[in-house]
Parts: sequence; structure tokens; C-alpha cells
Amino acid sequence: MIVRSGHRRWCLSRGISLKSVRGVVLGLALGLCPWTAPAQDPAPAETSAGAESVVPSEAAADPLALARYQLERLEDSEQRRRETARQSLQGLETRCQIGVQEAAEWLAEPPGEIGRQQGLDFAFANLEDCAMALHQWLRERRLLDPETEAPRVLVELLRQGQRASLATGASDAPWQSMQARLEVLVASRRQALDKELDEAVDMLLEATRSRWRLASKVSPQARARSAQSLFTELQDEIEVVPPILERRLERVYESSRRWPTLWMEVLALRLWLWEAMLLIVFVLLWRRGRKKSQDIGQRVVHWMGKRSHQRQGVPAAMALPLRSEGLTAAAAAVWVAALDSGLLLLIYVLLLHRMDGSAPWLCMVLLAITWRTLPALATLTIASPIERRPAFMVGNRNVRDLQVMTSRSVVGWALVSLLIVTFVRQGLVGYRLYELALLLTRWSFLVLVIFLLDRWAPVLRHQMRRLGDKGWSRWLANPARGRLANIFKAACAAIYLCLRVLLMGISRFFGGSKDFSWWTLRLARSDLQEDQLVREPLELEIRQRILDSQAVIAREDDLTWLGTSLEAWQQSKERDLAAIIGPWGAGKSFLLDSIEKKVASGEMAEGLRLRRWCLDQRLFGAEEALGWLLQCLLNEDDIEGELGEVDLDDALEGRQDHIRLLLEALPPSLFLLDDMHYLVMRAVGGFDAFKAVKRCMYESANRHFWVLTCYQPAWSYLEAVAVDVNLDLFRTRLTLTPWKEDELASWLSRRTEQAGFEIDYSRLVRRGPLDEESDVDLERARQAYWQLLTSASSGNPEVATLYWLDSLCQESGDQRLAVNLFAEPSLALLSERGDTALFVLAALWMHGRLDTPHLASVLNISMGTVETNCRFLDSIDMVNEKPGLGYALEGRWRPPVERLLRQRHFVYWKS
Amino acid sequence: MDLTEFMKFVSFERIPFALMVIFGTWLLLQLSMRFLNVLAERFTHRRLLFKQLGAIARFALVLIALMVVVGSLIQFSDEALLAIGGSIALALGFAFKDLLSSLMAGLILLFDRPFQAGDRITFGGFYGEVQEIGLRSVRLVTLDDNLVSIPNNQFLTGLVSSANAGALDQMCVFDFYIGCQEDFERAKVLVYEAAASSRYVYLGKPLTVALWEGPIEGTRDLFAVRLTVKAYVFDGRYEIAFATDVAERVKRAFRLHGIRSLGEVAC
Repeated sequence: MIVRSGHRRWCLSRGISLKSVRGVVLGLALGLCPWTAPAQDPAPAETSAGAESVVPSEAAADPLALARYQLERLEDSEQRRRETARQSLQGLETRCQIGVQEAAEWLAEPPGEIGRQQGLDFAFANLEDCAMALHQWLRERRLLDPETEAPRVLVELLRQGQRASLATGASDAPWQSMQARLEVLVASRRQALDKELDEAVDMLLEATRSRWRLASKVSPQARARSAQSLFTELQDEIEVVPPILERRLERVYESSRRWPTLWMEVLALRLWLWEAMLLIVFVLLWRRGRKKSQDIGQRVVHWMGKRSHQRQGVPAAMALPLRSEGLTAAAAAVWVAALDSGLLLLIYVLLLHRMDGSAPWLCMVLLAITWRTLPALATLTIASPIERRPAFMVGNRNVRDLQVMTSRSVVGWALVSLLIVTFVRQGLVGYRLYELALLLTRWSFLVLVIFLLDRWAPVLRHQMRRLGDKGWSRWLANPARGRLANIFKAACAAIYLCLRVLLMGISRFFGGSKDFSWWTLRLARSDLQEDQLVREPLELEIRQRILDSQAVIAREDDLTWLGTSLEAWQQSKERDLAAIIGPWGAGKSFLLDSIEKKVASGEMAEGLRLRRWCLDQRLFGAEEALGWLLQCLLNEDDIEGELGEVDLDDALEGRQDHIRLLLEALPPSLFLLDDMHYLVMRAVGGFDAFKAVKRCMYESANRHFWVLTCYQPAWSYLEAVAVDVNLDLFRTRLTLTPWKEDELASWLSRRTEQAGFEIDYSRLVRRGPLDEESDVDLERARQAYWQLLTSASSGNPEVATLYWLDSLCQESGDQRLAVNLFAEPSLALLSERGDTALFVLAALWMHGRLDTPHLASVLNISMGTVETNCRFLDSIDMVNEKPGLGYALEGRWRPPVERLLRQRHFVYWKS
Repeated sequence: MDLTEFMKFVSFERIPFALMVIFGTWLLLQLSMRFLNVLAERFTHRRLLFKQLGAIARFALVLIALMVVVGSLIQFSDEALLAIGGSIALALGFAFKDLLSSLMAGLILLFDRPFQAGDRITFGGFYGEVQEIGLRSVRLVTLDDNLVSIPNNQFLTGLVSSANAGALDQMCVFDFYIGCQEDFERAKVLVYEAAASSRYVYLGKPLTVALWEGPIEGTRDLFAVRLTVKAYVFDGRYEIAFATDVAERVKRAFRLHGIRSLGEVAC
């Protein structure tokens, strides 16, 4: 910074230290003038002159001689500097003139002239080099302090000498003359510097003007080379500044001739001011627009509800008033946030004029969007339709608030940091402030992390506590004495939990789950209150009351479809067989009950007699199967005509003939055959029974309508391998699909209520000591529970009933049943047994129920091995045994066992 | 360039770092192989994928470690590189020709994938499961539990037959012979049902039984009806168990239905 000599005299006359004055001025300059740049590479020869050089011995003893010596050296160095500057300026002037002349000559050539383009490119490059050299020269000269350290040292010497001479009574005239010479030297130095700067600025202006004129004429390659130059100021000078500002810039140059290289800083300042003004306009418009967006959001939600009414004819959310209100409010918030964000983006697009100025804008827009949208999304997850609900938001309000706060903080920090770094530009505020700003943003992230860990520490400890009782996890679960120690433990716990979740994700991904519903279910399970306390299981009497209550889920669609097929058969009498296929506990027999009721009431199968037979034991071979069929037919009491004697021990062909005759003698009937999978066995000859019965059915299918139920795994096995069974004869097939969540919830709840009990879900909600009761939390917990139950039971009503009964417990003898989370069966014990146990389970899964001889035959392993494995599985309650009938999978184990078998490829199920 | 000159380019102060890199690589290899093996056992239908990942990871880790160690220990100047590029490079090239060709062949095997880890292949008279595709050789475990190491470069020119080609299931072919006078229709049904009812069969792919009558291979006078079953086992590891199971079922069924096998007819 150049300090005027007048100021120096003023300070000296008042005894004020120049250094302190400079310090104050510098501070003010940094604070007020944003274009003060730090010193860069000062010309070393100019700033350190003389003071440290070797002083002749005769001058060192005499202060006057010393002062004279220093003064002469200063004058010499100044002279040398001027000569050097003159020479360099002359060189630069010559280069500049040559460049300008070349440019003018080539511009004057006609456009088609050979070599013109190369000449223009060459002249452009030369002018660029010239401008670059001038910029560099100006930078160095600008930093020259006309009053260097050497004059200050000399001034101090002169002052001391003057004082000393006055004190001794000698004349101070020599000192004063030297002082005058020094002042002249400093003044002339300043003038010389000013003059040099002026000359250089003139040359730079001329070179820049020539480059402007050439800029549109040179080849793209030349422009690209110029763009790649490290000296970006040159490129900006000719590209960024539109021509309309040329005159303005000339005036800037003229007025700031002593600081010509500050032109870029001026430009940056102009841009900064422009963006700041736009930012103010932006914020004002946004504030005005917010209210409008809220109104629009409400209107959109209202319109959506109205459309839903018109389309469906029923209210959009009909199940629970709470859910409908919650949905409307939550959806409205999201709509408001979405519209708000849209408005922000629109304003942003309208005000945007160039990309590199958009960074602070983008930050502001994103910040605003995030700030508005996150809470709305969080609210939406509280109450939403079942089919779109993310279950992971179940939990107490504290956790939810922490999640929102964390996401807001992190996103806000990121965007604010970006804003700061963008606005705090090195060219504007100086290198030191810029570095300080960067440092602050980095350290602020660390502070943010520490703060968040401090807030999350109790929740993380709770999670660790629930994971187990191992040494180090117990250490993490226990609170520490100091706050910092707690934060450290929270960090360790967070890392561990993240790794655990990542590994779970990897294992589930390779386990075949391609969607992320398992993720939400896992989080829902961990968030629901798991009452690990010993609780009394539900009394048998209460269980039976609930099981006996007959809440009906009407499967009207299935019955209607069957009825339609039956009617079509009655009209056409074309041979057709019907099959109802489904897994264990899916409701096949229940469907047959429904058919029976409909037939009894006359709604179905008019003119047909209903006959229902159930197979309760496994039959192997055609003879056994036909024997059973024959027996059933003989038990019917409306056989028309005389048939003669029937021998039940007759051979196969004899039995077939008898059956044919009997079926012809029976009036047209609707036959319902239950559990026909007992005719199928996975062994050599295992299809014969089914084939024999099927043949009899089909032969009489033009007179009787046959409906059978079959276990789905057995049916799939038949479809896969039984090529000569010809399942295509069963043209009417009804496959029972897994139940949906709302069906299971409605059915089981109604059964429980019909049994005279009230259901209480409050135990599922994790609530802190200061948390208030919230209907929304309760509703969320209820929905998450049913989601978990449906997933765990794979939509199987029988399995779901077992889990439901496991979840209930009675409180103090009243009619309220509290719902707790059921325990999901763990298959860890199976891994120790090897593959034989899995083969046994696969056989039981396919057949339903098998005794040990049949198991040994199906698996082709010894009876001893079968018995050993069956006993083991029975000991862990995975299978149950009925005397005389064999083993079957325990209901609550079916879904996890099936998943494991399919995962390991032990069973194949064509979906 | 003699040894003393060569030693000038060796940075002895980097030896601890190189040792650390080697140890770290070894540790990482062990951990990753163990982790991948656990995953392969847990998710059997992805077993081959994990084995393939293991082979690639092993290659990559060893190569990277080698480059880091050599690069940190030995730093040649340009002149030294030129000097080495002469006769020493030639000598080294000849000495490590086979090793380098095996290394390159290993990389080609990984990317070209004529087979992969977990496949059951036939090569050079050996049939077995590819346990590992190493840097130098492929390790094959035969059905007799013998470990056969075959240099990688041999696979570039030899014929390889893969039974499962990256899939878990693989086709198994069994032949059964009955006398020409036996009830071949019933025999065919029984053979089909025996294969279909085996606990090892993979029902997702077709199961076929072909019938052929003629002299048995290697003989001219012994005529038989040959029933060939082509079925898929759900996991190649159970190939032998599958064959045994089907054979037992067929023999039992034949005995029950009075169908005589060729051996019984001949006797």
C-alpha cells in the first residue's frame, strides 16, 4: 500500500508511530475495501535495499557518514531500478506495438486472403503474450512501496543524528539537507512509479483493445488455446465483458490507473453486488409466494379427494377417521412443499443468466426446498394409505424428531458451506479470509457431528442394549461418566450399527430379496416396542374362544368365479374338472364350506346334489385310491337302479368298472373332494393313485361336476414332472393367493372382538417418560404390526392366526387383550444338522403329513436316519406328530422353513 | 549392471512399508476369502458368483500388492531402466516365460470365462470341481477328492468341457440297460418316475428319458435296451448322490415290477 509522504510528515510531527497508522489504515482497508489483495512476490531488489548490506568500516563509526552512505546507496538503487524498469517497459512497448501493428495489418487484409487466418491467430497469440507480460509487470510494480524499509531506517538515523547534534550543540544542517534529499528521492520514486504504471496501463489497454477486435476473427483453435491459458484474466477480458461495457471499463481503467490489475476484482465486485441484489429480490418474491402455495396446496388436495369420490363412489379413506384426517393433513403439507419448491425453481430459472453465478442460487434453492420438504415428508410417513406406507417411521416422537433434525442439519451445513465458499471469494476478501472461511466450514462439520452424536447417544445406547449381552456391546450400551466419553461411545455404536445394517443388507440382497420391503420391516420390528418381559401366554380357553368365533371374510370373487364355471358346465355339459389349489392353511376347506352353504341355500348348483368327501390319510397306488372312492360311492344313499354285488377287494379293472357304474347311477351331483394331495407321493408309482381317481372323475365329468382341493406344493410337483397325469383336464383352477394385510387385520380383529374382547395396541408404542400419548403413534404402531404379521406369515391366515394368538396377553382378568410383538421363529438350530434334516423338511413341506415309512420311501434313506431327524425336529417343535398319521410341519414354522428351503434350492416352486 | 549397481536403486528404508503391505494384503486376502466362503455356503444359489468374486479379488489384490511393493522398493532412474531394458530384461523374460504366460492366461480365464470357480469341468482326463483359479494354476478337486493343479496357460490351447457353466444346477446322464424282451414301456415310466422322485432332482428344468436298442458299447454280441435319463441336479455337489439315488430307485422299481436288467438277463 502506498503511503503518501504528506501523511508521513503529519505523523512524524505529532509523534505518532507510522507503523500504528499503517496498521489502522490496513485494518480499515481490509474491512471496507474488498479488493485489497495480499502481497504477492514483491520485487525483491526493490524492497530490501541497502540496510542489510555491508557498511564500510569508516562509515560505521560516524553516524553522519553512515547516513550519507545509506542515502547514496538508496539513490543508486533507485537509479538502477528506473533503468531496469525503463528497459523492460521499452521491450514491452516494442512487443505491444508489433502485436498491434500485426493485428491491424491482418485485419485489413480481405477475408479470403491466403494466410490471413494464420496471421490473425499468430497476432492474437502475440497480443496475448504481451498482455500477459504486462499484467505480470503491473502486478509486480503495483506492489512496490515507494517508501521502503531502507528510507525508514534512514529516517530514523537522520532523526537520531539530528537529536544528537542538537543535544551536543552542533549544527543539524547536514542532517536536514540529507533529510531533504531523502524526501526528494521518495517523491521522485513515487512519480517514476506512477509514470511507469501509466505507461504500462496504456500499453495494456491498447493490447486489450486489439485482442477484442481479433477475438471474433480468430480460429476456434486459437480461442481454445487461449481458454486453456493459465492466465484466465486474459480470457475473461475479451469474452466475459460484453462490448457495451467496453467504454465503462475504459473509464474504470482511466480512473484506477494506479490499480489497473484490480479491474478483475472490480468485475467480481460488480457481479457480487448484482447477485446480492438478485438474492434480495428472490427472497422477497419467495416470501410473497409462500402464502399462495399453501392455498394452492389445499385446493389440490381437496380436488384430489373430490375426484376420488367421483371415481370410486366411496370415500377415499374409509377405514379409520384418524387415517383419513392424517392423510389429508400430511398430503397437504407435502403438496405445499412441492408447490413451494416449484415456485422457487421458477424464480430461479427466470433470474438465472449464467451458470457460474448460479452456485449460490442453487444452494439457496436447495436449502429452502430441503427445509420445507423434509418435515412434510416426515409427517407424511406418519399417516398414509396402507399400500404406500413406509413402516420405518414407526417409533417414538423423539426418534422421529432426531431424524428430521439430523437430516436438516447435515443438508443445511452442506449448502451453507457451499454458499460461504462461493460468496467468500479470494479475490474479494483476500487470501487469509478465504482460507479462514474454508477452515471454518471444515471444522464446523466436526462440531456438527459431535453435536449430533451427543443428541443421538441415548437412542444408540438403547439399540446396542437390544442387540445382546456381549462384553463390548454391553460396554457401549452403558452410559459413561463424562459427556465426551458418551459421545465417543455413541460414535463407536453408530459405526457398529451401520456395519451391521450393511451386512444385513448384503445378506438379504444375495438372499433373493430384490426390493427393500425387508428393510422397512426390519426397522419396523426394531422400532415397535418389544416387550421382553415374561408375559403369561394366553389362556387356552380364551384362545379357543377366539378360534371358535366365526368372522367370515367373504371370498365372494372366488365363489362367484366358481359359480360361473359351474353354470357354464351345466349349460354345456362339456367335461371339465375344477381344482382349488393353495398352501396349507390358505382356506381351501373353508372355501368348500362356503360352497356347501351356497348350495344349501340354493344360490349355487341348482339341480345338483352336493356330495363332499375328505381324504384324511395317504393312499398309495391305484388300487387303494379306487378302493377309497368305491367305498365313498357305496356310502351314498341315492343310487338309482340295481347294481348287483360289489366286491371291494376286486382287482383294479373291476373296481374301475364298479365306480363307473355307480357314478352313472348317481343323480347329477356336485362332488367336493378335499385334500386330494394325499393321493400324490414323491416316489416311484406315486402318481398312480391320483391318476386313477382323476380318470374316474373325468369319465363322469359330463354328468357330475368335480371340485377337488390340493395342496399347492404337491400340485406344483405334479405340474413339473407328471407329464402323463395331464393336469390340463382341470380347466377350472382357482389358486388361493396370500391374504393382504387389511384382510388379515380385519378378519383377526373381528374374530377377537366377536369373542368378546377389546384389543389394545398401546404396548407396541415406545414412549419415553415425558412423551405424550398420541393417536398418530398408536395408529402407526398398529399398521406396522399388521405389516409385520402379514410378512412373517406370508399372508397365510392359519399361520397369521397362530402369530396373532401368540401376540395377545390378557391384562388383569378384564376383557382387554394387549397386543405385543410375536417372536419370529429362528432357524439357527437347523444349520447344525446338515442337509438330511432339510430334505426331511422339504418332504414334509411338499406332502403335508407323512409317516416315517413313507418318509423313508420318499427320501430313499434309512428309517433310522429318518426317525433320528424327525425326533430332533419334534424336539424343537418344528414338526408335530399325529399317531398313525405321521409328521407335519408346525404351522408357525411353515413360512420361515419355506423361505429357507427355497433359498437353498431344496424345493422348487413354479410361481 | 552388476549387483552393487542394482542395489543403488533399492530403497532399503521402504522395506518396512513393503512388509506391511505384504502382511496387509495377506490379511485382506484371508478375510475376504473367508467372508466370501461364508456367503457362498449361506446362499448356495449364488455360490458360483462368490467363488468367481473370490478369484478376481485374489488376482487383483496380489497384483496390486506386487506393484506397490516393487514400486516402493525399487526406483530406477531413466538410465538404469534403459540399461536394464537390454540383456537383463531378456534374461528375466526367458526365465519367467512360463510363469508370466500362466499369469496372463489366468487373467484371460477370469475375463473370458470359459469356466469359473465352482464349475465342474473336464480337462486332460480329469473331471472335477474348479476350486480356485489362481495366479499360476487352476486347482481342480476330482470326485476322488484329489487336488489337481493345472497351469493356466494350458487352458488357452486345450479343450475344456464345463458341465454347469456358471449355474448351480447341472445335467446328469444315467444309463440303464434292460433285456430286449423286457417291458420297455413300463421300464421307461419307472425310470422317469425314479428320476423325478429323487430328492436331488431340479424340477425347474426338463427331465427326459430316451430309449435305444442295440449292441452295448464295446461289444458286438450283447444287445440291450438302453434307457438314458437326462435330469438336472439342483446343486452340482450332489451329482454322485443323485446318481446313486436314481440308481437305487430304478433297481428297486425294476425288481418290484419284474423287469430284469441286462446283468440279470445275461446271467
